[in-house]
Amino acid sequence: MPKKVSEIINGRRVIVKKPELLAPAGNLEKLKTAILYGADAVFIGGKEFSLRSSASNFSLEDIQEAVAFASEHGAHIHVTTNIVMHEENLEGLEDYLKALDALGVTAIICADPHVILTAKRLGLKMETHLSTQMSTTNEKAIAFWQRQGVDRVVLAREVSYAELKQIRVRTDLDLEYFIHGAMCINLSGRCMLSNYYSRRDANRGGCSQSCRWFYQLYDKEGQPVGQEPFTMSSRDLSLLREIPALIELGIDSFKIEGRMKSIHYIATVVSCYRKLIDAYCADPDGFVFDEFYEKEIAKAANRSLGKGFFYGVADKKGQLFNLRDEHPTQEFVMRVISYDPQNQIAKVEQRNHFRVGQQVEFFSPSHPNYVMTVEQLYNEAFEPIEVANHPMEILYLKVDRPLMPNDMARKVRT
Amino acid sequence: MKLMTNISHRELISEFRAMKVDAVVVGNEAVSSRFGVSFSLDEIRKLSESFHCYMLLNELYLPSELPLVQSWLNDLKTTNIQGILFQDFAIVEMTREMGWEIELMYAPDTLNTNSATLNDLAGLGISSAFLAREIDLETIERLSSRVKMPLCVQVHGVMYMAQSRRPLLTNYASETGMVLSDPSYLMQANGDERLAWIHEDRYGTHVQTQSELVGLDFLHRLSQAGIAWGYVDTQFMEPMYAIEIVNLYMDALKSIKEGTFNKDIHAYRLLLQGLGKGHVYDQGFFNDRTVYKIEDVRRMENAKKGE
Repeated sequence: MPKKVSEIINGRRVIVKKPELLAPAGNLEKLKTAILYGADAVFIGGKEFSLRSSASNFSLEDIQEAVAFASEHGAHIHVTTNIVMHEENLEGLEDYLKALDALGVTAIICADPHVILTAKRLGLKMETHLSTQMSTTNEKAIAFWQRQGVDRVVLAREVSYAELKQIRVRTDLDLEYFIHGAMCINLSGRCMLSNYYSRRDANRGGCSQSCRWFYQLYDKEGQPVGQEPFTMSSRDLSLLREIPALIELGIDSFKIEGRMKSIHYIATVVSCYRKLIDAYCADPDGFVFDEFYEKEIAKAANRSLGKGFFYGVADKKGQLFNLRDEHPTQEFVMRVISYDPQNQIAKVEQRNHFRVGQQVEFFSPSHPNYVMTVEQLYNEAFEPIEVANHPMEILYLKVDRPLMPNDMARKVRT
Repeated sequence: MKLMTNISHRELISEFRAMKVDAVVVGNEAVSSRFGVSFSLDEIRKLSESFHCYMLLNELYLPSELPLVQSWLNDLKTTNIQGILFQDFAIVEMTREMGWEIELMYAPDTLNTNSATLNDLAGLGISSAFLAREIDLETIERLSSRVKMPLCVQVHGVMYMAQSRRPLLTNYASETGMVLSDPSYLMQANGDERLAWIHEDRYGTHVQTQSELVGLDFLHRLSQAGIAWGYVDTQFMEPMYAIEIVNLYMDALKSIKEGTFNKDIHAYRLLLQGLGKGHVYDQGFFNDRTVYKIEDVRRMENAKKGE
């Protein structure tokens, strides 16, 4: 049976089985950001055997640095080995898995049964997690994979909360559930639209997102039907309000999608869910949902958000029918390097254009958001300037609230 | 190599029986997808008496759907069916729990793309496998030489493209006010001439090519490679056309056995050409490969721009 979720301690119910917050990272900077902003674990892709072939994936040296950083902060690294392999991909698998294991990677995320069974045969320390690409939707399939030695199942996004409840009581295997990010419209691992339309293999990371194209429908006689273009585009998932229910169910890991997402997105989204999870776990019976979380997430969302399959079959509210419903996120402009409390001067790294007179909002894993107008801005030589327009340039500005290294700032939308 | 085909019209039953088709695939709307005709249990029982009959339990089932699947498994065990085409490993687990040793063909419509995985699955109770359509003929030959279980390759018919658990047509109709009056439609991507079938059932939305895969020219090589089954999908075919196509492939397989295929292939091609009026034919991925590494994608796209 699954472990107990809550206990009464000193007369108050507290959550004792806190879920892992699992964040994505496409490079080392994003990985460090995810951990600093509160992720308990980060999933990354290696240079081989991983989907998202256009993400700047991690070399073994990068993974070594990632594991070291994660360990220092009490976090874990999961490496995706989740392509569906063709004959030409088989070579090098054993050596690669052994190398990951030797580096101290906590888990590999696998879509191909051969990867799982190879890892088990080699007797590696790493856990094997069954990827959502295998579209596991019920407890019997979980039982089958548990018998093969799988340590965790990443459930298909088609599993609703009601179905999840049934699964949870019928298995004691670790369960991982998506809480945020982009969604495939079709069953993961079973979509060949890209293969047929673009000759790009979706199951090896080459997906051309043909589901988001526009189509015309015809009847069997070849007559066009429908006044609007037909699309199969999904809204992104966001389960902020559903987090308490998922915690009470005892789900082991909450997954945020987005290895190709920006550092701003990762920091904002991870931080939001971290604060929400911590607030709920500390006092579940006294918890009141704060709209702050939704407002904060909206600053990083680049597509309209929805609930996916959480409440059952996804109706039209879970889809995008407009012409390209993508919103620019609130622009990320700087990252804090250090702060001099005596002079109230922050040393920052520029990430996007901003100027004196601009309103910016600092956000952080450790203190509330702070809005201010940039009044004094200096270049690296401490000469006053009006505009910060060189990427990654080092700047100084006056901030009358203390900041921490790796705090970030975004432009305030007016 | 033998021929396996689905029964997409009841009129095909007597014809397939007369042709002595090696195996038929049947389904029921309660537990199957992309099946053609929904046969009752009694009909399936009857069919299993005169055919090598495989049942489609080819969905990915939610927990609430498992009792129905279990009920079907219990009933199917009382028939003479030869095997089950599945993609959900719940089927493997449930038949194991029942102590039912039935042929289990792993048919996830994609995914079966390498020999190592298939050999691993053979050790886990999977009896046979339906190869992915998106691998080329050379790879099929190489793979087949290394795999220890019977393999099935689709040789003719519409090809699976995608499935969603969302009712995409219903959602679109609800959003736009379109009235859904047909069980299936055709869809065409902007800027692309190809059409695809799209239809809904209780398990969501299914997308399949309108063009028919034609593997006739590769039949001999597939047979030489040791492929156990050639699959002809008769979905979306008119009954007479389906009969002609299945008959053609049965004849072709016979000529391979008798060593006359190389001589007979010309006649088969002409026959197919004659049958093909109004049909779009495609060689699928038999002579084609997909790319996925960013440098290969860019190279392919640059080559297209240059055309």
